[in-house]
Amino acid sequence: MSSSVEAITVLSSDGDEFKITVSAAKLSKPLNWMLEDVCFSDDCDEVPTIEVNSKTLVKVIEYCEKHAPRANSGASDSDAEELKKWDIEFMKMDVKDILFHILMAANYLHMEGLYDLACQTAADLMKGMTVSQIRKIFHIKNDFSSEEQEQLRRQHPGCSFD
Amino acid sequence: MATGGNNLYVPREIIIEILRRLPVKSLVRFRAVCKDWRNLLKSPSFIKEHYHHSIHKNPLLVFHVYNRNSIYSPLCSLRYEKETVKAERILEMDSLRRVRRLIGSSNGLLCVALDCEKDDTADPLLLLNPATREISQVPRSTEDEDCSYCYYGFGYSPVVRDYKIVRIHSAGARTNIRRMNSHNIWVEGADVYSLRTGSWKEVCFRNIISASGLYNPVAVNGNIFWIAREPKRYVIICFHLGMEMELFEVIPIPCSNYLPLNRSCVLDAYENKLVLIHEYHELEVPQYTFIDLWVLEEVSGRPYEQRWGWSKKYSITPNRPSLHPIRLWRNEIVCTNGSDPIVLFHVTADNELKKFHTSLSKAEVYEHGFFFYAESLVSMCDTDLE
Repeated sequence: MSSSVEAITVLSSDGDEFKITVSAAKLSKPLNWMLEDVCFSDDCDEVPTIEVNSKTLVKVIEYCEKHAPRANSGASDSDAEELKKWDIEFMKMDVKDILFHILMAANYLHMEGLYDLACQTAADLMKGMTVSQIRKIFHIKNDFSSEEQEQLRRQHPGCSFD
Repeated sequence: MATGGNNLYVPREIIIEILRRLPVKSLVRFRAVCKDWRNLLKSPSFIKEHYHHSIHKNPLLVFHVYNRNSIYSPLCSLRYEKETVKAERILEMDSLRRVRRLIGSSNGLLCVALDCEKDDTADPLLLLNPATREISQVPRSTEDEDCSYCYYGFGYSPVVRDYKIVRIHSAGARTNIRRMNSHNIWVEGADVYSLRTGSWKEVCFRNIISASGLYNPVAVNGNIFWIAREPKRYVIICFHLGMEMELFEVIPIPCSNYLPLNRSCVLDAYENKLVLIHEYHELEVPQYTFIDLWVLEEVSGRPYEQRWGWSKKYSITPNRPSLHPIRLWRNEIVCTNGSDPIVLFHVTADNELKKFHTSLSKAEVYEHGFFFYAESLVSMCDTDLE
């Protein structure tokens, strides 16, 4: 690739164009491979598609741009502290609406940091949920018979299974 | 991958990745989500993965607080904050009010001894998982009668996939003191409880009969180690949990030049090996504490009896007088300095010193009674965990 290029354009699965800086794109292994394989110059018409919807891709790129300087150069403790606070703010989002999409995008784009952060956020959100809330967000059908449910209740008194 | 809409199907591998990060309390509840989740949360591979995450994310030191009037369980864990350490109760259950001491901790299971009704009977024992609130009473054995004092150890053997409690009966007050001294017989029995079989079994104790004052039991890699006193030296006693013929072995300690110095050695586990932390003073500079960290390793190519070898990992001289090591914790040596309430000092391998204040009084806490603990889903009904 040409070293003069600082940002590349990618397409979301919805067909929208997004700009991402080269240093930010390097946080993702597949994007990094793409950078190595494809010639990204100003007169290159090829625009790679990322199989992530626009809404999610905006967030993923935002994360990459924020984390890229630190990932590329290493940072001081105060920077790390600041970044941690930023991560917490960044992750304030709806589980079903966007968090699961981010999780799957991070998995698909091999972004370890974001994947770990999103898993932990999902775990923190699920921690206090009831069984029926869990079933709802994961679209799980309750396949226990009423006898089995009764047995579970007996085994774990004090726990609500609804 | 799926896109758009709220009907996103989250793949199983990602669900597992999230569940690994959940506390046990939530997972116990989520067994009722569906059959697939129930089976997953019971599977040894998931329990193992979850425990590894738990060790990494929330490792704790647990101990027992002596307080006769306590209306709660006296089992506590240490929670580190910036400059202080707080003791938090790990489980409030009526049946734990009579806990007299903590015997061991392994893969999220604790073994405790309860107060005994009679003086000449061995303490009743309990196994418990504080996170799932599962409690199991250890059956009494015929050896329990006529037993005034016992030393204990608790650990897991990955080879036989079983949790075991080792009990060494001390001759104690019952035996004629003169006979004991002349023959150096201090141990008069030993037996082992297996969680898998649910029963006690006597084991050969011939080579440890002259050992006394066993303390600081540590379970490492399928062995339990204690520090013990023999008539003229300190030794390490090792019990092999995984062997067909369960047996005791006596291992010399590396720093014998300086001994006997009362309880100046502490055992702990480090990277799945036994470490010995030795604290000593030099006559020329009595104001300094010297601390050596030794690792016990099996040396290949030597005859079986001589296969153990010690290697010194590092030596430090903390810039502070009279520190007593009590534990190794996240690669730092935890020390006390005799102050009341207790102050904990953490010494790193680079000789850095961190200080933590506690609200614990010296009388409440036994310094060699701290155990490593991380919460787990391990069940006593199914001991298949590696």
